[in-house]
Amino acid sequence: MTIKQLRQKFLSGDMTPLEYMERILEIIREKEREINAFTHLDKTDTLLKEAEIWTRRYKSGEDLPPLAGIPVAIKDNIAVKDMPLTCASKILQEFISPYDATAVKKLKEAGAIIIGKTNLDEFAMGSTTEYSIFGPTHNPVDLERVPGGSSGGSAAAVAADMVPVALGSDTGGSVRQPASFTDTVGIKPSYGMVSRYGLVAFASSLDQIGVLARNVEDAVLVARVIAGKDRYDATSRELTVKGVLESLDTVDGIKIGVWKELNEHPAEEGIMTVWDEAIMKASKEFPMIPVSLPDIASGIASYYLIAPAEASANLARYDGVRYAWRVLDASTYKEMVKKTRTIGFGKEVKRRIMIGTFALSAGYQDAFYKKAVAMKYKIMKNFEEAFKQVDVILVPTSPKLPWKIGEKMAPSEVYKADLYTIPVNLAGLPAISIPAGYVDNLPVGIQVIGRYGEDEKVWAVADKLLSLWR
Amino acid sequence: MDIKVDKGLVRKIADMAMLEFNDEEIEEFVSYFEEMFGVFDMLGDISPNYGTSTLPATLHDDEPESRVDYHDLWMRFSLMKNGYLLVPPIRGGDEE
Repeated sequence: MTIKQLRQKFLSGDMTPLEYMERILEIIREKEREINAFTHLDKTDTLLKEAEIWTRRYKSGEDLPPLAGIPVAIKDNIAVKDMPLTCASKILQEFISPYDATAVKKLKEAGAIIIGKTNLDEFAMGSTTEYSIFGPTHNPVDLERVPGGSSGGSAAAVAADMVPVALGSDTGGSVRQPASFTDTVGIKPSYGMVSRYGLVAFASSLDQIGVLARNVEDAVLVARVIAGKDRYDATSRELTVKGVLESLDTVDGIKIGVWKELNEHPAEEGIMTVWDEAIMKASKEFPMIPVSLPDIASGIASYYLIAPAEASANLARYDGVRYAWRVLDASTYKEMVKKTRTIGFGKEVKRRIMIGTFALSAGYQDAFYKKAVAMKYKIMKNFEEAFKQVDVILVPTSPKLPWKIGEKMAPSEVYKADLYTIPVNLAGLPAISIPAGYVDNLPVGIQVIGRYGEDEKVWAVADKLLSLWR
Repeated sequence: MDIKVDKGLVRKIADMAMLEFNDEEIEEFVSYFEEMFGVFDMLGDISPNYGTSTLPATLHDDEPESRVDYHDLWMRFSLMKNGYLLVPPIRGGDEE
């Protein structure tokens, strides 16, 4: 059932927001113990009271906002007033947000009920949702497997029907890859389309709030609500966002590009089979044109310098003075800061701070950071050239199927699982991951990538493709 | 660039990053850095000066052709001071 259908039920009285909330809470009670999607759930009384208010307002027949009475979950690196904002880290474990992120404020104004906060890899650094002080989130598709990350809690909550929609954040694929792993839809908007105010900064030039849902229509509905220029984020901007129904009519004449060099950087065999079938089905509706993106595989190297470099600066503020928790057993300021950071940050976060600090240190900037930024420009140029021939480009979302929780992999092996999603962030482009098929009952997602600011075109094509692939 | 990663280098970086590690962890970081240098080799011989900056006159310029190049801004701020702890936070993120 889509949000639109749900609203129809609320309007007709077939179901009330209160009944829906009770059903949602029942599902959470039933499944949360084995999935571990949430880091925090609002009090049951508060949620039911809020749903009751919306029930009364629907009955009164007044004109209601687009998400009136719809429960939404928020990734725990996005600020929700009076709720914990932990980033799944010990260093922020006691921190309660004193304000709403702009995206959350917009959701509340649109009538959404914020049900709670979802699990993530600490500070959104990871691809599995295993690096969390709250323990790993399990994939509802197969509980022994990871749900992807870092927005794995949001993806799992949506996939398990705990909420119809959830917010995540996407710095290198953290919305799209979990969407692919959990058979859901994940939108990564153009950089600047959604304000980052209230999103805990990881890599500011790449971070973007995104949406996870069970279908394109719901994801788009929420993306439209949270989009827009915000005076609190100088990089945000007003991008044209048409209604999903209008934009669905715009797929006529669309030319789809298919990444030519995929065979040089192939995904696992089963994924390639799903990919080939998906392309074949799509070719019946759209002209498919091979496009060259020769440098995008080098995005991994560029990203794993730029993102840690920015992270090392952004995470410098966690010094035991300005936020929440600190080590008390220290005799000097420097000792306190070092101990707080050493104990407060998890292993993966420390890895990234270390590599970022190194990349920015005197003598290595030209060899590493500046070359990484140069490669970012080259990748942008790759896309620019490709978009002279086509309107959107298809690339698989992940080269790997969801792997087992606890599986031992070298860090660089895990990083390479972001191979297909990272270039989109480096270029600031809009993309969406949609379900394209299955390998041994494990889901496979494919990304639709568009020109900067042409989010609505990406969504329209995705909606059409999803109807062909499902 | 041929860089020798040893315990001394890792300790120096840890100190800059305000982190502490024991000997075993330092060893792990030596291996991690070596592993990551393998990844960074994918950058090949691209010139650090590749690409041009499209920095607009102001942060609030609304022309789509001249949107803010945040990387460039960020790099200028951070490299200006040559120390990560001295990077001035740009408004946004979780700072009110």
